[in-house]
Amino acid sequence: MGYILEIKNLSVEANENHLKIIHNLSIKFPEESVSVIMGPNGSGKSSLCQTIIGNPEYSITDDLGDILFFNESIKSLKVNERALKGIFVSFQNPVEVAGVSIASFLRQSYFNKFKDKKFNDFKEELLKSLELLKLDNDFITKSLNENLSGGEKKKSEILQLLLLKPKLAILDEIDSGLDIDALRIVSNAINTVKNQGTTIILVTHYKRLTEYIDDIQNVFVIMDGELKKTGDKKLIEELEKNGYKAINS
Amino acid sequence: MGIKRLILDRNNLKVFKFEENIDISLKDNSNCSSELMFILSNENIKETNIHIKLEHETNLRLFVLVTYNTKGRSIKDKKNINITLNLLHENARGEVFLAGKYHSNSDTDINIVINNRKKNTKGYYRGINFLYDSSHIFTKGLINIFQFANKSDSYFKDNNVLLSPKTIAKTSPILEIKADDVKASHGATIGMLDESQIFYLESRGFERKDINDILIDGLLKKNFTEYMSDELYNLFKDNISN
Ligand SMILES: Nc1ncnc2c1ncn2[C@@H]1O[C@H](COP(=O)(O)OP(=O)(O)OP(=O)(O)O)[C@@H](O)[C@H]1O
Ligand SMILES: [Mg+2]
Repeated sequence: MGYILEIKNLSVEANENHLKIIHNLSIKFPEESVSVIMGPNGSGKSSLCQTIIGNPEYSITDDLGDILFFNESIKSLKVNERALKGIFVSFQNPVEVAGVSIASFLRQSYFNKFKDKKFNDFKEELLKSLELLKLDNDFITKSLNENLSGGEKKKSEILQLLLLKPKLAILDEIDSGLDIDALRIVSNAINTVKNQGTTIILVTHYKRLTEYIDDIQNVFVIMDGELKKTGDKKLIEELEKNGYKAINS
Repeated sequence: MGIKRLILDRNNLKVFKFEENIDISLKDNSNCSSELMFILSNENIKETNIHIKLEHETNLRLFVLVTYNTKGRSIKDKKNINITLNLLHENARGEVFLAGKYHSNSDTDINIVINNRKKNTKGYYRGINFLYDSSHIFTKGLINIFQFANKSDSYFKDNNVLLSPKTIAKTSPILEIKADDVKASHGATIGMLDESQIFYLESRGFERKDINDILIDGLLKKNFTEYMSDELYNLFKDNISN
């Protein structure tokens, strides 16, 4: 099997202040795998996720740099085109959209993607997903992310993931802000998505989440916008024990 | 120009299609609480005057929807919408909600006056305007809290969303307070749709033009329809779909 996502010689800066955040980064993510990205605060993990989906706040600075999705460059595609190709990036801080109910948002995004599905298909999948996340049915009457707790916002992201069934899910700190039970519930949902064939990239600070997720294949450590180390699940243990300092030396 | 008079002495729930000039009185000691809606949709009328008088213990929620059909046509005359909320007696409470969409080169002045004449009166205004094409709008809000109208509470909140670079929105709130121990405030926003919301929706596969509709609907709900009772909302929906 090939690679679903290839980051090639990618350098990225923030448009606002021209801060160079990512430097000549290359990483390959195999199809139908689970990978973990770790790294200290401010090392550029979220910026990488946002650049992959096309956040206009970031620019690729070097023309040679590229992002390949199934071997095709996506760097000049519009944001929604990347999404419709099958890339889903969950946000570290999901945006609040007042007055738009989760229900209508989910319905519209579902039918944007699955044009031939019936309303009953949607309803069935929605109810199943709510149950999987142990959310009450009236959760979807709330405004999208507005006045939701930190943990509820993360569940709202996973609810969208469950319905949209992307080919690739990049989950940026999906575990931060979750209580012990919620972490288990969300991990279970991620495993479900993975078992349906979605490739998973987890950005996290904690070993905790990775203990609940099955079949983690690769671990990448990013520091100062560069790939510093690649390994398997054992690398997470090492980091937990010795911290990031041990890597630089 | 005739003036329509509407005297209410019991609870009311009504939706009207446009009146040029209207006087609304909620009568004393009636314990009445009314919810009204005006739909201003006749683009040929230059001036609309809505005068509200609230007596003892009365309670009114007024929704004004501006939906002039001026899309794609050039408009010569300026339009004026004047709304005066007179809180005549103690414990009267009036709330005015206005939502409007403005197209082509239309030029609209909205004048809101809230007069807190007696103790413990409450008057609130909340507006949401969507400006398309090269439309202009100027909203003035005056809150007058009269002498001895202690413990009054009023606000003027005006939100303007610019959907094209050629639109202009201005808003000017004035507070005149001659009593003690009152609450009066104002707030105004003028801006485009939120970039981070647009990006979030794009990242979930939405097209830009659908996103505008979704965000506009959301703002309309948050600032306008959410304040309606279910009964009024249903009447309003029926009216719009006719
Ligand atoms: N939109 C932006 N504009 C300006 N600077 C930015 C922007 N986004 C990120 N940065 C800067 O780039 C650096 C990397 O930030 P980023 O959020 O990618 O780090 P991170 O690895 O996700 O950190 P954390 O683990 O704390 O979430 C930081 O110094 C940050 O201040
Ligand atoms: Mg981050």
